[in-house]
Amino acid sequence: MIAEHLLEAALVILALSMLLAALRGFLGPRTADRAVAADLIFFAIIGFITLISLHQQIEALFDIILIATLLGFMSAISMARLGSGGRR
Amino acid sequence: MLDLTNPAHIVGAVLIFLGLAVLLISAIGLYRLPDLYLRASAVGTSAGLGVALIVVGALLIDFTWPNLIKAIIAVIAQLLTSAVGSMAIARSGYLHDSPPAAITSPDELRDTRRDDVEV
Amino acid sequence: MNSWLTWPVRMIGFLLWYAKEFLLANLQVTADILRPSARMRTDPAIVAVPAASRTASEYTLISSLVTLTPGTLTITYSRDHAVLYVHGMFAASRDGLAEEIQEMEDRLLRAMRREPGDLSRPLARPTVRPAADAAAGAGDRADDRTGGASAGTAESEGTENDAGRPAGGDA
Repeated sequence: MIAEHLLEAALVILALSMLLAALRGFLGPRTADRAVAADLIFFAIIGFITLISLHQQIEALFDIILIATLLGFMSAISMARLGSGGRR
Repeated sequence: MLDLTNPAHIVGAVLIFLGLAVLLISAIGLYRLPDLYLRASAVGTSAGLGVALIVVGALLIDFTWPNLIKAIIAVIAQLLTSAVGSMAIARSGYLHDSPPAAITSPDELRDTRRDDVEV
Repeated sequence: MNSWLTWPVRMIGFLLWYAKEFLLANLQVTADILRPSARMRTDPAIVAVPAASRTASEYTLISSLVTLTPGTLTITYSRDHAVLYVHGMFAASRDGLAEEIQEMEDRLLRAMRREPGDLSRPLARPTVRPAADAAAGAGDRADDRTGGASAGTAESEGTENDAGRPAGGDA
């Protein structure tokens, strides 16, 4: 029972952080700022996956986290290249 | 599933909530701070400490030895790759269209720019 | 021989020190974000820090570690000029931030290298001329994934004579 409430509270915190990051994504003003916001949204998604998997007892949780942390920076790299017009 | 009679689970839940707090605070920083580099610094707290706390908390709640190894690799990978990612963003931002805020002084990289134009 | 045996000890010592710095920096940044804007202590600066690193892996490691510490962020570096360009969030004084970065580099190099060698370098900013009057294509080997000195930062004359030069006129 308490565990359910904790899960709800945690999801609300994550949703709030994603909302703030999304706001920064809308406001910009530049691609690089949006890239940073996208980064934070990605970390919040890792949090969501963790919480839901713990609640649903999904066994693949740590495999998912491992792959997410290994590949998550790809979005940052590609957004950085997008911001620089494809050049390095 | 969280079992609140198990001390390891309680510590795990506390760590997860600390990680979530770091995430929320860096989101506030992302919204409040004035330029790209300060925002990237704020997000750096959740990239390092925030995700690491969430992963370690999840490990304590769902502990097995294979999970321990996966979690250690995940935390190390997260630390290394997030640093590379924020450097790439900051570098492309500086080179192209994100001038640092006016309060940034001194800016000793500014003087080395080849194309001395206002962006 | 002895230095090989002490390598793991030195590395663990460095990692413990780094973990402490990492936690303190996290606390500092989170505390500052939560302060009302009138009392925010952010005083950002981008500082050219003379570096003692030599190989590409040393530059990659030190710039990653600097970036990983919240509040400091390596924007780019130039191996030709032996400079790290670091954005600091709490740079009340230029030299304070440069000293902090150099201390971290000192500790990293002492832990990593078999013989630390000569780690002395100036604190003041090296003179780096814009590339307009310099020979082109000098800095290709500084080019790895974390940056190097390509597009917008300068690559001027040589490798040997610019890092030790005293600062021009920066305050």
